[in-house]
Order: sequence, then C-alpha cells, then structure tokens
Amino acid sequence: MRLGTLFLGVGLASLFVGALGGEKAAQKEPQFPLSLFAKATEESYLGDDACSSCHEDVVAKFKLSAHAPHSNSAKLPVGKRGCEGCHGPGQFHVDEENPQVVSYKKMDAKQVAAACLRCHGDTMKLSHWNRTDHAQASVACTSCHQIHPAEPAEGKPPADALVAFHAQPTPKKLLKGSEAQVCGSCHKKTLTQFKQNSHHPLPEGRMVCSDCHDVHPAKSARKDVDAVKGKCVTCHADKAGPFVYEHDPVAGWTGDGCMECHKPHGSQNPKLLTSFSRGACAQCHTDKLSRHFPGRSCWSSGCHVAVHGSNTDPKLLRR
Amino acid sequence: MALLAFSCVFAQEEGQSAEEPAAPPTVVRPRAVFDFSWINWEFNGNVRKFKQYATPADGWSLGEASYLWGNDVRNAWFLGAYRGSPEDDFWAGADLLLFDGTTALGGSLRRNKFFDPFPLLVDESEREVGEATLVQAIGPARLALRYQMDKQDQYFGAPREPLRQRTRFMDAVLGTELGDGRLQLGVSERTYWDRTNVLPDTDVVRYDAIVSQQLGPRLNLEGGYLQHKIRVGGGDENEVETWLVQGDLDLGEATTLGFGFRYEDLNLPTVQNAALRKRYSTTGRLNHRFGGGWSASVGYRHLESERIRSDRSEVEVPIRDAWTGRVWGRLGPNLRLSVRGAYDHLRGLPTVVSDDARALWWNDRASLQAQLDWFVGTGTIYATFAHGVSVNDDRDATLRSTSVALGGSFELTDRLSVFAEHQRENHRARAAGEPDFDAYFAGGVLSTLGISAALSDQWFFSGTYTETGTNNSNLVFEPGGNYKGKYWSLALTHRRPDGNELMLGWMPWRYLDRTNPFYDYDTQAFVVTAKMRF
Repeated sequence: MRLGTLFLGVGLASLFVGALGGEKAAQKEPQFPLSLFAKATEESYLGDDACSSCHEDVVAKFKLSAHAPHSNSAKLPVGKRGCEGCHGPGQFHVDEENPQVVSYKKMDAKQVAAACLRCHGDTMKLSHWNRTDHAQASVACTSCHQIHPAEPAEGKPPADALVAFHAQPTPKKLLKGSEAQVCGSCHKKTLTQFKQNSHHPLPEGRMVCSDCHDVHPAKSARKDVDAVKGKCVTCHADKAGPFVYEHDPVAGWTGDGCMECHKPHGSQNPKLLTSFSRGACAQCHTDKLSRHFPGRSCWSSGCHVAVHGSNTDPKLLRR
Repeated sequence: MALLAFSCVFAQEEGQSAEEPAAPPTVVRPRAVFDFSWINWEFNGNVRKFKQYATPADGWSLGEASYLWGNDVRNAWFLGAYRGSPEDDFWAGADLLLFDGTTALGGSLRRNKFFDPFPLLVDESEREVGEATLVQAIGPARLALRYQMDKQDQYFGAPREPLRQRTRFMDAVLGTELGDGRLQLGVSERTYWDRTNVLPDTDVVRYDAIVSQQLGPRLNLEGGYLQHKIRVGGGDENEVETWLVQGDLDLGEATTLGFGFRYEDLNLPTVQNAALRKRYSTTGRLNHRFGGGWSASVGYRHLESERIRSDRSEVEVPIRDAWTGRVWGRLGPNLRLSVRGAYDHLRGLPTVVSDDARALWWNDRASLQAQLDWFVGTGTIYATFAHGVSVNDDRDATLRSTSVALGGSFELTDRLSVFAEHQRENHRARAAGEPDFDAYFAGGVLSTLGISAALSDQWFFSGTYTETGTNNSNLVFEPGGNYKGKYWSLALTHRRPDGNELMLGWMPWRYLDRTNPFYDYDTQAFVVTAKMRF
C-alpha cells in the first residue's frame, strides 16, 4: 500500500505542476455558446417582449415551466434572465447579416452543458459533468430535461397509458418523462431486465432509477447513507449493520458487496439472486452443496436466516 | 402483471436509436388532469404471487388527479398530483416554487401493499414512505433540508420472522460556488428501529465536506472528508472516516485522465468476527477519442483492505486489482460497435477459519461484452453478447456465464411501430467433487414484443406480449426456480381533439410454477380509463 500511496502522491504532484505551470497563461477564448454571452453588452439584450413578438406561444407557455420562476427573476443579471438567459442576446438573433442564437436542438452535448452550467454551477461544474459516462457518450442535458412544457403528443398514444394500473410517481421537475422512460430510451436491455420474474419494483412505481443511480456526480457521495454497504441499505435497512457477526461478502472487502449474490435490475432467480437457492451460497461454500443438509435452501428452511449478518450467532443461524 | 404493464410503458421508447436516442415522449402538462379508471380482475390462483411487489387498484380508482399552476408575475410554480387508490397503493406529491424559485418546497407520501408469495396464508405487507424537502437559496449558496420516514411492515411465510422496521432520515446540505469550484457541507442522521425488538436500534450520524476546484485550464481536483458515527443498540460507538481525492486532467483535445484515491479508516467495535480496519482504493481511467468517430478507454482499480481475522490472531491484506477496457465507434455510417472487457484478480486471500480451509472467493474474474447497433431507416436493430468466467483455483471451481440479447424497433409507417427483444442467459458451473453444482446456476429466457398503431386520427391500438421462463432443474423443489410466465396487454384508445381520452384494455396474464402449483395464477383484467384535461 505504501508504494501505491507514494506512486499516487508523486503522480498527483506532477499533475499539479503540469496543469498549473504548463498552460497557466494560455487562457483560451470562450467557445460557442459562451462566446455569444462574452461579447454581449447590456444593450444586446432586448427582453422577453421582443421574443414574444415572433414566438408568442412559446413565451406564453413557458410560465408553466418549473424553470420559469428562476429565469424570470428580475434580480438576475440581464445576461441570465428570461429567454435570453438561455438562448443568448436577442440583438445577435435579429441581426440580419449574421443571425446567431443559442439553439439547444443544434448544439452538441458539450455546448449544451456549457450553456446550462452558466447558472447551475452551485450544484455542478462542467468538469464534474465531463467525467461522467453520459458526457463521454455525448448525452446532453436536453436529452433528459425539457425546459419548455410540451404540447400534447399527436399520433400514436404514448404506450405508458396502461401504467395507471399501478400508482406511479410524478416525474421530477423538468424531466421529459418518468425516469424509466427517459433512461430506458437508451438503456433498452437494462429496462427489459425489469420484466424478469424477480425484479426491483420499478415497473410498479415503488422506485425510480435515481434512487440508486446518480446522473449528476455532485450528489453521488450523499447517496451512500452507509459507509460500508452503500446505497442498497437505504431501503434494506435491516441489512445495514454493523453486525456482531458479519458475513464477509456483505462486509465489502471483495469489492462488489451486495452484487456478489444479487443482480440489481432483474433476475430469473427469486430475490434477484445470481444463482438459485443453495447455489448462491455454494458459489463460495462449494463443500456445503451436497454434504451439508442437502435438498434444502440455506435460509428459507429456517437455518441460516441471518445470511446478511447476525447479532447473536456466528454461524448466522439467528438474527 | 407488473411485467406486462411495464412492457407497455416502454413499447414506444424501444423504437428509438441507441446512439442518438430520439427524445422520449414529452410530458403533457395541462393545468388539470383527472384520470378515472375501472378495473376488474378476473382472478384464479395465488393472489400473493400476483401482488408480490405492489397492489394495483381493483374497481374504481383515481388514476391521476393533478393540477399545475404557473405565475410569471409572482414567479411561482406549483404541481400537485395524486394517483392510485386509498384502499390499495397510492402516491401523492406536491412541489411548490416561491420567490423567484429561491424557495422550493416538496413533499410526497406513498404507500404500497404487497405479499411474500407464500402458498399458505400470510399477512399483507405494507411500506409507507413520507418525505419533505426544502431548498432555500441564500445569496450564492443553497441550503437543502430533507426529512424522510420509511415504515416497513413485512410478513413472510414460516419460518421467517416478520420485520416491522422504521427508518428516519434527516439531511442538511449547504452548497455554494467557491472560486472556480464549489464547496458542499453536509450533516445527516439515520435512525433505525425494529418494532419486533429483534434487531437493535441503530443510529448513524454523518458529517461530510467536499470541495472542488479548477486548477489551471487542464486540471480539476475534488477532495472530500466523510465521518460516520454509528451506535448499535447502545453499545460502543463505531466510527468510519473517509478521505477522498479525485479529479480529471485534460491531456489534450482528445484525451482525458480521470483518477481517484479513497482511504477509509474503520473502527467497528460492534463486530466480533472478521472485520475491516482500513480500506484503500485507487482508480484511474484514460479516455481517448480517435479520428473517425472511434473512442477508447482503459481503466484500473486497486482495492486493498486490512482485514482483522475472525479469531483476532492476525491482520490480513487482501488485494483486488481490476482492469477495464472499452472501444466504441462506427463500423460504417449505420453500424456502431461497442466492446468492453474486464479482468479482476484477488490476491492475498484471507485464511479461512473453518473446517474447510480452502479459499472461499472467486480469485479471478474476466468478462467480455460486445454490442452492435444497426440503424436501418427508421429503425434500430441491436445485438449484445456477453461472456464471463469466474475461477476459484483453491476449490477448482469455475463458473461460465453467457448472455445474448437481440432486439429491434421500427417505425414502419407514420401510423405503425413495432419492437421486439429476446434475452437468453446460460451458465455452466463446475466444482471439484460436486456434480450437482451446475444445477443451481439456471439459465433464463425472456422475450417481449410490442406494437403501437394509429388506426385513424383519433383511434389508437397498442399491444405487448412478454414471456419469461427458466430451465432450472431445481433439485431443492423450491418455488420460483422453474416457471413460465405469459403476459398480454391490449389497449384501444380514443382521443378527442381536445386531448380527452377513453381507453379500453384487456390483459390476460398467466404464471405457471412447474415445481409448486400453489404459486400459479391466471388473471384477465378488463380496464376502462377516462382521462380528462381542463
């Protein structure tokens, strides 16, 4: 370990030196869309009334958006207020020779993130976003979020009409739909796993993707309510411990914790197990498979009922 | 039931491209929505298996009652909604923004009833979660407060004992921009108690501070400190301290290096058998974008723990090294390939203090996954192949797992879209001297189909079919190990030009447990839903 720490320390120090010294003076010009805001003066901003003269319906509907109270605030600096706070100075848009506007449908994911994080820097910085898998895969803020409330869909009905059979939570503010819909539009195979016989109750509306997953990295550390066992014990609190007698794979040193035995989305085995019944235990305790009370489940038979940890029995026979 | 409803939810989304997903259907939010439903469940068999996860409404229910209000003069916004049935499952919630959005109040209450799918009579389980949040802007900072109460009363088939647990969670976070970065300070308390008085009361208090800075044009660093104080049943206090440093370095226009180091110091006097004392984790990931739309990443993680042996005789240091690699890009204008591989190795395995001293853990694990997306006109075909191998050398045990998924979705015309996906999973397991080892690693098959059609400008039809099953030989004759489920869902919708809707649905579902017929059920639900917007 000491070698690893030394290696890390030397590495970090060299990174510091390289980053601070190498390009210290090389502050680049901001790129689009930040360049548009950078070159604007107060006179470049025309106000929402000017936008409304052409985009009346869009401006009118915007007041139903959860974004409106924030962006309509008169206390904001003029460059972050109203339509122009997101879409750029109106003067550049109406310039007949070179019309320019911040159009979120035409920008790439990096440009969209740069524009949104002009205001959302208190929750996340661009560098936080850039380190995520979503950013690496060019997923934009607007892939999941909608700022303007949409018109009722035309054509075929949304297939979620039947979800009324289970009470579903309302989608979070400014999301384009339920989390399962939004996430599932890309993660199709994962979504199908929730159709397995054993699954986390996401289809039933009892949980949402962000109960476990953090899209915005700045929030990730806070979701681990437990220092050792992480997110799962947020709901499965009886498995949190610490127990007088811990079960090694649950205690976390092998790395995968709960997922040593469970598949989080769905499984063909009961209780989201990676293997069936005694197989879950036998993947480590191979010697117990056929020579230790064969033909019965290890826990539902009433023996090792405290398989996640016990406060009374070292063999996990009682809770 | 849940499976089928879910398949309906995603029938439309699965018609979208994997790489450039079309936006999911946007939320329609008029000022008021009332959605009444009448459902009749024609039911035979084990109702507890049917209600394993939740209890849908039976008879009349309020599918949705919601009200949305926005005021651009007072800069306030409100959305309140109630869904479900007071007798069965329900969800209620509201969000209110005030004072230019500087004050955000939120609250929700949800209740679900469900059952342990046991063949004999078992009491109904219930979970109720209430939550309240307040987010207040204070100058450049933001204070977020959260209170949550989680009540779970769960009853199981014998011999399992019931669980009547309560968890109260309170959280306060102050976040602000700080220079070219941010600072976050937090404190939270989680209190657990068990009303059956079997499990000890547990109280966890956490303090955390996280600071990040952009240092120069290329380096972003984030540092954090977390402290957990855990008291179990009035015993000695357990304490876990965590230090972390992570960041990103731009090595050029197309190359970034992500890195992280995490150190945990654990003092767990409650634990009397093997316990962790320290844990170190070092991670690094190099990402590079090549020309021609190809990218690659290489990652490494080193996890090292100091583990006190259960007989307290020695501290052992198991080490896990994990490597990952991924390459993704376009093979052609309409063909995208993503290949990822992983290998991890455990060394310094702890001595096993039991009658069989051979190491218990998979010491080597490797996996390879490939996904191909083919964009064809208005549709996408996708295929995934994954193979993994786990090896325990000490016990001469090997587990090989293979899974494939083949799916596709198409907008055949403006009026007709279809999707289908087939997933198959197989395992081969071997352990020295255990011929039946393989029987406990069951394969499974899942197939799902869907169609959505506009019959006219106002009439629409959607239908899905999902089938699941296993090929488990189930030597222990336990339920849920050898089954077949077939779930249909068919819906005909009439939507008026003003947005009001009437929907008729029929859902024949069947679940068959080949080992224990007491788990079978067969149901046909008839549904009428009227959705009104104002």
